[in-house]
Amino acid sequence: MQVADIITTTARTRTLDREELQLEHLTGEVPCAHCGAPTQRSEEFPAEPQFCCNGCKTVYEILAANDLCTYYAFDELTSDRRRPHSADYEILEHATVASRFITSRTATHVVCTFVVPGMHCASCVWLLERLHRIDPGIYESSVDLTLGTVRIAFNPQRTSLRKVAELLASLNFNPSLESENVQSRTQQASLLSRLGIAGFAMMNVTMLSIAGYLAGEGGLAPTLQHTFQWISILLSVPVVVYAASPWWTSAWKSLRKASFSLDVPVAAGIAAIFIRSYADVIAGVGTGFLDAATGLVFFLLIGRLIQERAFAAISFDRTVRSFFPLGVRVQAGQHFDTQPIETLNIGDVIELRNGEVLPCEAVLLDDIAYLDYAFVTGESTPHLCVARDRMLAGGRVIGGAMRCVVSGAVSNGLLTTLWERASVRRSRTRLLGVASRFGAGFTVITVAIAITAFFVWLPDVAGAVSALTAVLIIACPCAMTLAAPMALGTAMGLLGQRGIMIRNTGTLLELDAVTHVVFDKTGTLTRLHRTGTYIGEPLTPSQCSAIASVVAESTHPVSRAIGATFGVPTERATDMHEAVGQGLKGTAHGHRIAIGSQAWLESDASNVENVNSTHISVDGRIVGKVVLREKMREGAVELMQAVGNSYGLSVFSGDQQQDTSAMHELLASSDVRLGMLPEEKISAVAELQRRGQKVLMVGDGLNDAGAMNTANVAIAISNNNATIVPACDVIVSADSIGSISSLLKYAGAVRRVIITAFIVSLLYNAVGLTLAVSGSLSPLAVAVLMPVSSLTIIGIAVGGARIAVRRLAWK
Amino acid sequence: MEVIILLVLASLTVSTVFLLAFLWATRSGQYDDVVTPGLRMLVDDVAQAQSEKPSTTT
Repeated sequence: MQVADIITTTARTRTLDREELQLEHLTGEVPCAHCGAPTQRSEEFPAEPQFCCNGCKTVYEILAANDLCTYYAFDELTSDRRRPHSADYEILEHATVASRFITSRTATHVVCTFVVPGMHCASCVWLLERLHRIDPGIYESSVDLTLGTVRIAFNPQRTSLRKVAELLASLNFNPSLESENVQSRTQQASLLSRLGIAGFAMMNVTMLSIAGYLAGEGGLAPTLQHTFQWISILLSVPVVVYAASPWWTSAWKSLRKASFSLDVPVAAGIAAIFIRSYADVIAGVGTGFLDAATGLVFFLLIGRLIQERAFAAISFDRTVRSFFPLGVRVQAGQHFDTQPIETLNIGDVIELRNGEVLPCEAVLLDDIAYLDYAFVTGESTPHLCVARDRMLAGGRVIGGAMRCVVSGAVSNGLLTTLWERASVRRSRTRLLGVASRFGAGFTVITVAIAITAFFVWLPDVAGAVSALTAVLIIACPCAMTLAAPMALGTAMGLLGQRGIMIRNTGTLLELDAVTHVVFDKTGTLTRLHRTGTYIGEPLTPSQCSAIASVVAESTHPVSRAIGATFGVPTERATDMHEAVGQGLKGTAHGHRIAIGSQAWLESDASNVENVNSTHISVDGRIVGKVVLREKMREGAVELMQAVGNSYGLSVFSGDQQQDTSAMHELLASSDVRLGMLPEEKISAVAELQRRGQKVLMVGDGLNDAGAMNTANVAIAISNNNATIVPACDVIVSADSIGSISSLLKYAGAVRRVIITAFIVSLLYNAVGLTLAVSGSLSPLAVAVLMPVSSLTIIGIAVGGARIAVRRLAWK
Repeated sequence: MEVIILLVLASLTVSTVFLLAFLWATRSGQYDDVVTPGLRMLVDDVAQAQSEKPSTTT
């Protein structure tokens, strides 16, 4: 593809707009034609589209070659295009691994499904559904944006699963190889079917029973009455047998485990109302309550469906980079082959590169290695291991490639347990505790009232039984099962629209209980300036490229700022070693580059300068430093003022000194601690908790993962660099950090909404129980009371959550 | 007045047909994804039209 053709294609579809021209005028930089990052205009080809790195250029060329440059016309629809990075899909050639992604297979037609965390907008959908134009071996592809999956049908004789994955990766839509992410839609489909049947039955039965209510004197003609009742019974059978079955199975499971769940009284209530209705009709005593019964199942199903939809849409796993490897490089003779981890045997020699995870216990062969166990223990200080050390599974390699001997069995179970343990630790749902205690109490009281009513009505046995069943029918705790999930589900959806992603339903309620807020400083409250200023000896272009290449291997914001200062990396650095919080070393272009604090570079602790001026050494000699300016994020100052008014406030910083005087004044009266190492942050948080505080920790997860894990609630600030720690409950985009104060207020508002809904449901129950005990609970009363109470509760829960958001004047 | 039973049965039959259609649609996956089709229709296949036009630049 000629360069000239690229220009003309660009001219057809995209012209630099005013804003971009202004940017160039101010800073001398243009946005990269693919990802939009500021780039220096190259001297060799000033008139062509500029790119910040080779990866962006490659993606652009692929799109241009296949006439897909309309992708760039969708500027308004895309928010960020991440820079592409390579990944290894060799593992997909193994049949066992491949079968996890393949859903159907014939000799000429294979269908596979990949989870692609990078897709987020209409233009992503557009591009991913036109893969067949790039690879003729692909028949078609179809995207499900909510689940984040793409289903691709291809011809195995013309292309392969691995090529498909590599194609996706080359377009910057790296497919995640973590197989647990592929959710099935069948659960929702069956819930929808049940809802359809319950709704059908409810509407028709209600239509028939209204005839009876409006009949006036003498009721309906007996034949009509009879026919309508039996039609109603017929219609209600599928509801009892199929539509209500989630509650039967759930209640049965709870009873078998002898544990209490809210589904038990709900199931009892459903059973009571249907049994009573059938008994009334068969005995010819009354018309039964079938309209209310089918309506009850209908509303319960709605509640459950909304719950499931809300959880599916905010599935956390879609945005986390795949963590556990499916394949590892194993030594086979002279070279290394990628093999599935299940085939590892004790004694195999494996090699792991920087950032890869150790899938099993192993003994180190190299002299030294650094492993980061942040995901497992929450501590981010890397462990130094020496030759012959036994390393535990789950550690992530930091630095260069490491070789070791497998000494323990690999089980996916072990890895999943490690991952889940890190996540489960965070999902203490307060909600479940409150709801089940409430529900248990409620059931006990209901049963007591029912038995009392029974005895009160004796010796009138018919009346006694009628009163007993009436109490059980009307006292169904469906309001409780509906109120909290619907309020929280709505709240989470509304928060998601405002850039705040909540991981667990119970988190909102835990946020309300917080008394003390701790902020990390660098990267959370402050933002490092995009580029820094280099002060030092003049450097040759080769040295500059070397520095840029070394720094490109790291995802730390300081590294990225340095990289932006030194330009485009042109080759991959080797022999990398990154010491968290201290520095980075690597070799590129024949130069040995080391970047870090002066103390670390020189092992000389006597002259430690501001950590934000990072020193660079080339080939063993310090040549200069890069000064990075820090700026408070928009909204951070107001946030701290707002938070300081109602909560205890602390700022933990890993830096030695502050250089923003504005913040210094603000924090003069609060608790600011400088120069904290990760362990010190953990113990400080624990100390606050010992003093009875409920701590909320806000950080970016880089060197405060441990503190975040210890805190009661943890908010992670997302810097768009795709490193999210599992030890967090809420993710907030860095640009909208100011919304945290609104979030805290909203948590309180949602709790009040739920309590209101509970109180209203108690009032309904009181009215209903009075009617039930006094024996005047007519079918009409039940038919009116139940739907009305359910609808009111739903209205309060959902409406309250929405009104609360508006009241907070949230954008 | 008993003719109303016939009417009720007739209307039930018609609505049962619709219920069965709904169940079929749900089972065949039409309700699985209600978000993406809305986005899919937002963008036209302009590129295809352009590639059919004769190229005026060299």
